[in-house]
Amino acid sequence: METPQLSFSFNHLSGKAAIYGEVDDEGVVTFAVRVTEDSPIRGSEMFRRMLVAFGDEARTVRAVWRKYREPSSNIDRVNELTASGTSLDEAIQQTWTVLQARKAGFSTATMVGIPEGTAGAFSKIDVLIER
Amino acid sequence: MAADRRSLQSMVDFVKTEIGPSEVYVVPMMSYFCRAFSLPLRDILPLREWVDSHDNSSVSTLLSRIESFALEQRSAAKE
Repeated sequence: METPQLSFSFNHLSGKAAIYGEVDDEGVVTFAVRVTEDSPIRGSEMFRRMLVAFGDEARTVRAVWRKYREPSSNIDRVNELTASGTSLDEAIQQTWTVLQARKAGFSTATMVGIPEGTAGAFSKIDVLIER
Repeated sequence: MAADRRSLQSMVDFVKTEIGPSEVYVVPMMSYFCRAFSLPLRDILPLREWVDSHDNSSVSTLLSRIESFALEQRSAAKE
């Protein structure tokens, strides 16, 4: 059985915002977050609360970005920037997750694996954000 | 449900009903699946896209994990 060291769950009663995250035994945080445009709480606030709850157990944030039909703020931002000539590595630094993680003290964002897609049309990117 | 070989869609529909009205049901649903199958979120995460795409190739690893869990449950039930 594989169980996380810690998990964090926040579901706003409005049904308009939720986050769920886990830290594994190597301190890697995996999470999923969704908010509607009219959510009474911001995604950044839920993300902050999650990292506060994990404390020093969290050493790396693992960001898993996939693009299908639904908007994906991170990958949409990467595509917006790379379409206008920004390098992929630089574009990653300007995504929502990396910027939020940086506020919480995670300073180094590095792409892992091979992304799928081309400039302006990426569909799969994995990033590790470390302290 | 997994032990009864129910489809992923039927499990998703069941969990959605359990969660109740939510525009962001996919997040608590993944938490539910993690607990139900004792799997880490990194294994469940492809469900996030599957609910829109229904592309089973994107959840092939997850489906095999669920099948393994179901086999264990059936074996345990026989003992």
